[in-house]
Amino acid sequence: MAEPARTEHQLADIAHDPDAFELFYRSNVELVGRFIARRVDDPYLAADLTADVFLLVIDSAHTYRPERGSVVGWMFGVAYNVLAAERRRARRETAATRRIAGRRLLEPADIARIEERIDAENAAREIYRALADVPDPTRRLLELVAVDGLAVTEAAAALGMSPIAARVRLHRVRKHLRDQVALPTSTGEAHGYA
Amino acid sequence: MGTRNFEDRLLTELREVVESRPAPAPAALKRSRLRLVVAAAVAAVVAATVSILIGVNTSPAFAVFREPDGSIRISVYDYRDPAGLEKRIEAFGIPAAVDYLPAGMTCRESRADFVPAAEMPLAMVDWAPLASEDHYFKVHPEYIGPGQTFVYTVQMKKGDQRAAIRLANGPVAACDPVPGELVPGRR
Repeated sequence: MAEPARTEHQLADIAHDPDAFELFYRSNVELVGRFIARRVDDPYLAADLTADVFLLVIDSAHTYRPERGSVVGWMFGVAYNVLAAERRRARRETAATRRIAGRRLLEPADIARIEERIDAENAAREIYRALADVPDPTRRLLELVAVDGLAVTEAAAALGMSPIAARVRLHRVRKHLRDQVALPTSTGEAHGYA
Repeated sequence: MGTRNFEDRLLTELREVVESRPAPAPAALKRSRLRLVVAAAVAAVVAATVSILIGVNTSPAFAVFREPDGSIRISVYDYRDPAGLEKRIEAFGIPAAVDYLPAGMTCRESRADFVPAAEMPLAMVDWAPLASEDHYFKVHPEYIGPGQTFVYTVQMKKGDQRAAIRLANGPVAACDPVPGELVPGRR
């Protein structure tokens, strides 16, 4: 799942070069699918959101700065924003207003596959729901660490936060959540996001 | 993912989105690269300044340099060594008199023939914005006439310095400290 070095440094390419975009898409579409499955249990909505995430990736590729963290961390930050916008939208709008309605591209085999993925992420979705009452930006950080398995440093970079500030926030909230959420140990090692 | 599935169909649509986007202007790319270089240079300068400010004993008390617009930018980090600052300002072609005084003290008014406050060219000095951490000001030398002297006098009170910038016609005698306000009649 490691990104080719080229996209680490030249992510802006993917907004203009379809081949560069395809490379990026193929190495990340599964990650994005899982990210969404950890938050959403409706395969149709998951398909819409997958399209939304990549559209926003294209629109904001120029904002990626290698010195601030990995491509994956940045992409999860983008995906987070899509999910947050979806929560705000709260189904006021219909899928027809989307630039690409992902659900239109679904076939029965896809739905079954996405449902399997959603089932596989049941435990993570429980954690995700348990975090609903934690105020921002601590919740954003907790999501990336506890739900998506990012290292603390990587999650901090995705949110534009210093690693130390991130650790302080996690430490403060840890005691409130000890019974509900299994957080990684203080070393902040990731347990993998694949 | 053998035959075309959801991900493949989505890729096809997204490729079209990418293709239909306008190509980036080369000039814009060049500009953003330049900005990064400048930002890196500024970061280096800031780091150097911070380390200078932290080193208490070896730190310079002031910095003086010429801005691109021709003005002389004077930053005072620490109110000591007025004679050194005076020399430094004069090195930029501005005859100067710099004095730091205790609170409530001023130089005897008879030390020079001062330009009256009402006749001072207001555009001569630009003060640093209040938000600036660096207490600097810029002097535009074109407002200083031949034979005039730039007079910078500071009253020091912990955390509350008062500074006066005046112009004098002709030479300025050494400061003879007497009780009083920096500028007569102005508090």
